[in-house]
Amino acid sequence: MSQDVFVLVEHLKGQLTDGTFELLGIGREVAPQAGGRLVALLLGRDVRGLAEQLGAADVVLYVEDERLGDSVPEAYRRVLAGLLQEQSPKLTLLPTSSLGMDLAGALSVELNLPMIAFCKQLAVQDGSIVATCELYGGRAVVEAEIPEGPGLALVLPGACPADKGRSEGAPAVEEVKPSVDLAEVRVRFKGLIEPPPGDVDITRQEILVSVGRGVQREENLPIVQELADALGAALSSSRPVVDQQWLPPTRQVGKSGMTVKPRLYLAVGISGAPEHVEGMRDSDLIVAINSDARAPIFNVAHYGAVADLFEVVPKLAEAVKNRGA
Amino acid sequence: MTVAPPAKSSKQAVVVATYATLAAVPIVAAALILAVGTDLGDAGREVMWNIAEWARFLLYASAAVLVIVIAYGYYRRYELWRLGKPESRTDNWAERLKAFLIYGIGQGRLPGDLYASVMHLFIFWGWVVLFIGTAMLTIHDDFYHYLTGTTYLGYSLTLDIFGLLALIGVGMALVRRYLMRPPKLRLASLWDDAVLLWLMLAILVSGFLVEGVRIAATELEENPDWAGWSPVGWVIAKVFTEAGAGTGLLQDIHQAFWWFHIPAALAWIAWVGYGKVAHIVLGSANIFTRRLSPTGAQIASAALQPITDFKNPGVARLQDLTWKQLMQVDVCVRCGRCEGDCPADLNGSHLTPMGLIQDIHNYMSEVGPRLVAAQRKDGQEAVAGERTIAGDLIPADVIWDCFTCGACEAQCPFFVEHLSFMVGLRRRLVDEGTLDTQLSDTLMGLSRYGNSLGQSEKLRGRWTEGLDFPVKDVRQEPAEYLWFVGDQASYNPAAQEVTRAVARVFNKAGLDFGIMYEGEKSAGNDVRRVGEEGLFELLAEDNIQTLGECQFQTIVTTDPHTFNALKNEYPAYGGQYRICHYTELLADLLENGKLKPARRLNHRVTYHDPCYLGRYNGVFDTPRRVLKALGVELVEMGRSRERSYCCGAGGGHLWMQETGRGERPSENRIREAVALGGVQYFVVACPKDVSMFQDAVKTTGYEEEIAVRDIVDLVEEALEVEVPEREATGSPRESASAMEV
Amino acid sequence: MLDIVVPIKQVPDLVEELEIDPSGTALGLERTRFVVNELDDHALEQALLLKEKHQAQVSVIALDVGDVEETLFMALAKGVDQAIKISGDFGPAPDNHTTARVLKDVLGGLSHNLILTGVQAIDDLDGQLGILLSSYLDLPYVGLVSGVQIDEGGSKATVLKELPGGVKAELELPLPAVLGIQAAEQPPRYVPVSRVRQAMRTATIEERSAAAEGNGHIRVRRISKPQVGAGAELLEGSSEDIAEQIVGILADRGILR
Repeated sequence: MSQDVFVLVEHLKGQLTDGTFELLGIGREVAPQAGGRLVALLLGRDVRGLAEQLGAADVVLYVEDERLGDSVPEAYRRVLAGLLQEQSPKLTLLPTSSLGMDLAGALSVELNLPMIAFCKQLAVQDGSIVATCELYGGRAVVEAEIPEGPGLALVLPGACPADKGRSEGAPAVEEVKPSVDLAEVRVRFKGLIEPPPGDVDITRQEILVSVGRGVQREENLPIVQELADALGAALSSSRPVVDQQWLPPTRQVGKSGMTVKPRLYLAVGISGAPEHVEGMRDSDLIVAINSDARAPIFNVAHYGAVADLFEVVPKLAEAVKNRGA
Repeated sequence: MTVAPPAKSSKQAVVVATYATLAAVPIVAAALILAVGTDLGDAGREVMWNIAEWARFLLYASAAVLVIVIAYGYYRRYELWRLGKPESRTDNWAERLKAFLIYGIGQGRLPGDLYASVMHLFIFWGWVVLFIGTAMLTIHDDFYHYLTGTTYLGYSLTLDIFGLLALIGVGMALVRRYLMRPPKLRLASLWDDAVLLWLMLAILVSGFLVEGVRIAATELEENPDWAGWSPVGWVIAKVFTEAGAGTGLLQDIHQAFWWFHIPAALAWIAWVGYGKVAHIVLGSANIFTRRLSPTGAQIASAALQPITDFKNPGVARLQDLTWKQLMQVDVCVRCGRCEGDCPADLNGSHLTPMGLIQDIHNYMSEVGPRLVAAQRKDGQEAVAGERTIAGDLIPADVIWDCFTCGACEAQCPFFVEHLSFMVGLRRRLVDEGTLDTQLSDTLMGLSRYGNSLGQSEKLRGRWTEGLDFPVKDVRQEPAEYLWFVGDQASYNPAAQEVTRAVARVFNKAGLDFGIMYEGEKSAGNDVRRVGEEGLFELLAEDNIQTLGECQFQTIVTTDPHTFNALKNEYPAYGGQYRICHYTELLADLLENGKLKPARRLNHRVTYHDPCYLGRYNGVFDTPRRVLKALGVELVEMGRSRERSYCCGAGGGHLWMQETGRGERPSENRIREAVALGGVQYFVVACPKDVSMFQDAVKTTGYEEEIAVRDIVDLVEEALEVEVPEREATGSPRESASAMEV
Repeated sequence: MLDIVVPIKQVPDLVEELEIDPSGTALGLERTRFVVNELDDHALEQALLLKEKHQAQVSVIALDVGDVEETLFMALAKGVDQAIKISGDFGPAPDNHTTARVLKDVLGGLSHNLILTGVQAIDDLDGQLGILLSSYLDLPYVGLVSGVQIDEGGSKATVLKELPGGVKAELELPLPAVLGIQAAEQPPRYVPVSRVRQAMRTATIEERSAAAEGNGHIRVRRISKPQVGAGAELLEGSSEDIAEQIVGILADRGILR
């Protein structure tokens, strides 16, 4: 076993994800604790060029293959399994994403590596991998360890500011040939289905008023819409609101929705499940109103009010309008 | 908005006056005869004058055939009703006979629409008297000669006047149907409504013509003193003689009219066995077999009996209804009165109580005979054209739109029990899983946590933390009153403030009371109303068990829905309790001096009767007694007491997505209250009402004009119990919807 | 014949406050109330939808943990063909590696060509159950699935996998396979209490036992409740006060026009 810390690089449509830089940021801290190098694993169809942006890593290992081009985790898994087998790093970091979640468990079983999920913080202490995890919908913090290592970690989005993983540098870039036959991949990619266009593009809004389960019924949406109108903002939402079909999927912020970075993100009645926080945590200013003081949204918000949204939101809309007038 | 109709007292006066007039007719006739004297002793007429002798036999033969024809008509319907399940409606004959006399013969449910009431009274009594007159004539002619002299003249006058009234009534009906055209008459059928009405007109007119021509030919000259006792006939006779018709011509005309009048009348009589006219018999039968208990005690009706056939719960086929329900769909005459106060109708729903009954009626008429035939042949096989009633024949959204407020039932002149259909239909939909997700989440929460707000049961008694005295745990120590708090009052922040006020007032009155804390579960009233019968049973069984472990004398609750379930529906599960609504307890405490108002309140208020307290359980006067004791000026809304207008939360609607496309019922209600003028407070006596109407006051923008207050709030104000500094009253929205967390 | 197996898991009910064991390294299980993992309920719904479409056979299996019988009876009431409760020496709170190995053991004796499970649960400390199971069984896996179609012959599935940005990938995989369900094609159905009670009276839960070996090899040092509002500056006062403060903050940052 080496003492290296490996990080899986994730990219979509030729762009590195924020999650990648977050992992690099964490890796940057953990690698010295482990006493090894920070190695970025870059897999894809034509990805050599992306290596330049991975300055935070000491080494970039890249694998290029036609079959790695699509969103088929199984292909990634086969290549990664071979690679990790050969390199046997101390710790491998994967993002809690559509891709990462389809890899970690399988690698854990295939390589007989212990793994920890829902990681918010990571460290290597006395040779053990120690993670702080947000479990039970953010209602409990669990400190867990993999004694000795090696191990795998599924890291929650937002565990580390992405900027910490964006640094200049000149890592060694090495190509690795896959040691496995990708023809054996059983899952076949058929195509991408884009969300229907035509609605407001919430990723381009300066101000978002975002509404969650706390709004309780569709008929209450106008209360929040009024505030959005007063602020000149668009309305976005967390998953439950879209699942109820109160708003179209194009308004969903979070894991399976959009990632947004407005100047103001006003979260109304959103508890702040990790899947949601993933899509909005980088907003310039986050203000949260929720009646549940335990709601994890208050951990990510800059300002919070433990209050009933039906009380505060109309008052706030009024106050904003008065100011405008 | 629909403007609230004026108070009904003036209407009642007109109906009473109409009755008095009708009753006066024979009396006046008799008086007149006495006044005029006795020299008319030989007055009388030849029955079937100018008509061939064989026609008499033809007439009697036709009458015999008619009896068979009518009997066959009822037999056909009876066969259809027999498709239904059994249900006992023949207990307590005395009470049933009384109902028949009051509501059948007495037309006791008329005062709704004044015009229609007078119209119907004229037609009804006109027809009754003409029918009796004809019968009397038959007896006179065939058995015993008695219609002579003054008796004959009085008879003649009375019949003429009632005939005229019937004519006026039919005329009013024609004007209403063709000129006034109220929307509730939209479901008119060509034969049963249009042709029938014109036929009645034709019968009356031709009858008068027959009479008039006969008078012209036989009385006008020979016995002019008699002719005036048939005033309408006399006028017609005059017209014919003035026109110069000779005896021969008059005889010909008379025969023509007679031969028109008699078949028309026979046709109408045959109609009694088939179409709309059957309501004379079916309406009476339905009134006779009506549910005698108040609406709330619906458990008496088979429609709300626990499900026994789990493979086939609720109403899918005609056979799943009871004979009584099937009979009811045949009774409906499409008068539309059930729609008048229906909140779903106003709310823009496709649901109308009349439409529901008519749809099933039409369906039964079409498919029922095939089912009867199939049953005769080979049992219960499905037949061509059969549809699932819940969800197909009656669309699911229509079934869910009902608020179960009971306003339709309170209006129906024949006591059709619309709600029994609703619950049966919903049971089917629940079984199939055809319910909105908000409702299914609520039901899941109810089965898991015992409350409709999906909160932990451990928090049920937390509202007591805001009190400066402890509230007994009646599971631990006995108390005279066991307060069954209910979900909304326990959990909903807006209602909790009222709940604490109730506790303070009880405490002030020195009442020995306690609550069950987390031992209490939702009473399940509306769970049953949405058709989740199994969950209702579960909740009832759990509550009955916990109640059985507590020592108390009387249960008190603020929630009319809980009140209804505990009072009327728990006994069937072995839970027999003395139960009162807090307004009843407050009235007693105020009247026996345990609560002494420190001052009279000078507010001008109106009071909203909660459906499940008033219509369902007949508690109308007690809350008004409380208000009277406080000294407030009570101004009644047009729709009060039995006509009270639903807040829109009933029947599980608090737990469903709002589907209304029109004005919310609660908003309509607030507008009604504001229209009274100068009413400061809209007083309610139900935890759901507080939030529903506070919401409506905001959305209608009447916050300056009117405020919603619970009745206990006023009691506390009058007592001047020190009220802790209040937080701003909870937003109604939060309360209206805090259930779907 | 399509044989669908739905492994379901019990997780603590978050409607109640979490109870932490005095040791500080585990939940206080005696006082914890369990509920079926929400996404497992979606997996079950998806299975029932496929059953309706393809006359599939659906089995639900679960380890004897928490209030599992209630959940299994509910599944029976919803119309699954078989419910299996697995007992063994895996303790009251087995981790997902252990659970997956136990399930693998039981699945060895159970015909299956499609395994549907919730893509994750709130207590997945050592990884998600579906993917662990797929690896132990060496079956293909796709997670975050929100749509499943089975071809005529029942030999392959076409699934929709959720990606960021509302995009979905359409993937095809041969059966047998394991799918981690994010959302069923329609919300999980409601099953009336009368049907659940009837199931409790008439249906039976099969019992199997299985051996559990090893675990996920991770050690919990400490469980604690998070500090409330760590990070956010909390605004206090009446609704008006809060509204004014927020307006002030927005104005300071030039966000208000």
